[in-house]
Amino acid sequence: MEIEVVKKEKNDLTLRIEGETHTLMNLLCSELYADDSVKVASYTLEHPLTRVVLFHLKTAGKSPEKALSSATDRIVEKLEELKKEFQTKLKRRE
Amino acid sequence: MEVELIKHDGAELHFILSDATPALANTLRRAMLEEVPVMAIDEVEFVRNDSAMYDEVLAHRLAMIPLKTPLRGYVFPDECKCGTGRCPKCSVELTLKAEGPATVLSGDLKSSDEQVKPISPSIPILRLLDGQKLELVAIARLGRGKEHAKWQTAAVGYKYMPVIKIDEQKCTACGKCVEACPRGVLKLENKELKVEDVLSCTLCKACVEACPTEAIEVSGDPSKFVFKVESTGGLPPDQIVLLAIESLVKKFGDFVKAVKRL
Repeated sequence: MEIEVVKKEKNDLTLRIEGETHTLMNLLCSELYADDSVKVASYTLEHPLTRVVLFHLKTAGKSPEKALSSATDRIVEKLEELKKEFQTKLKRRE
Repeated sequence: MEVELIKHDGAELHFILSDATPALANTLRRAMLEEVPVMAIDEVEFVRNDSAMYDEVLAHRLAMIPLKTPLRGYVFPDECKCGTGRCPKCSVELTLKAEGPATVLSGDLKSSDEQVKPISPSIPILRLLDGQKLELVAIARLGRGKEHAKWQTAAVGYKYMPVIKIDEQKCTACGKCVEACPRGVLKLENKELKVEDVLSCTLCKACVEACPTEAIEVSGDPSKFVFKVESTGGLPPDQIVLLAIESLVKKFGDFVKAVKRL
């Protein structure tokens, strides 16, 4: 995963990320929108044949970095919850 | 978030994921396909090939054979200290030696690790005619579906949970919807329309079209996902799901770290 900062103004961040796809980006943007201080959270593939993503984040009232870290925290929390739920249900089958 | 297991036998695992978003369901599906590591033949060294099949075609066929993968014991070749991608920690050698007339099957591959071998011994590889000899060494390595489809661990798909609403005031029990349904989801019991098997519904709405009184409504619940995971045999389907979630946790962790370093 290689990340390059394309633009970084006050609360406006654009990143160019290599090596990532919808697997990470779609869930990330979806979770970012749950945050009221996020005005824009979107991504596109620079080219459909490459694994290069252009990610745009615009916030109001919070720094983009903070919005990102809290969104990923929430995502990881949900994933850990999902993992525990699976492990419990699978054990019950045995 | 809740999980309800519907089917769990052999290579198939069906479950319902509730209270989740479409983004999470899709990310989970994609992670199962592109992130979970599994073994597959990655390089073939030919000693002798008298067959009518070109080396590269045969190598491709060998690569597509699903291999059983142990949960532990191997590292990715690019993370291995050996640097060559050929040591016993990051690779497995499968040798094949055959002479025609014969149909070479996957069971003819001899592995250096008993735990890494084709999921079935009866997959045909190629046909050798009288006197034709084949001798090769295939090297299997760990990889992810994102790099090549041979490393996809399973066929995964999901649909929204079907919600079928029958308005008993409008329903005349004519049975036209039961006839129209291609999956046998509905049935008439004592002049009453009932849903026999809601999970088989594909949301095609043939029943809605067939109904003369608009008594039936069919929709999908975008917070409930019916997953079907069918493993290729390399890894058990329950492990695929758990490994997929673990890979996602790592992925998001790495992402945050990379962003902080900027």
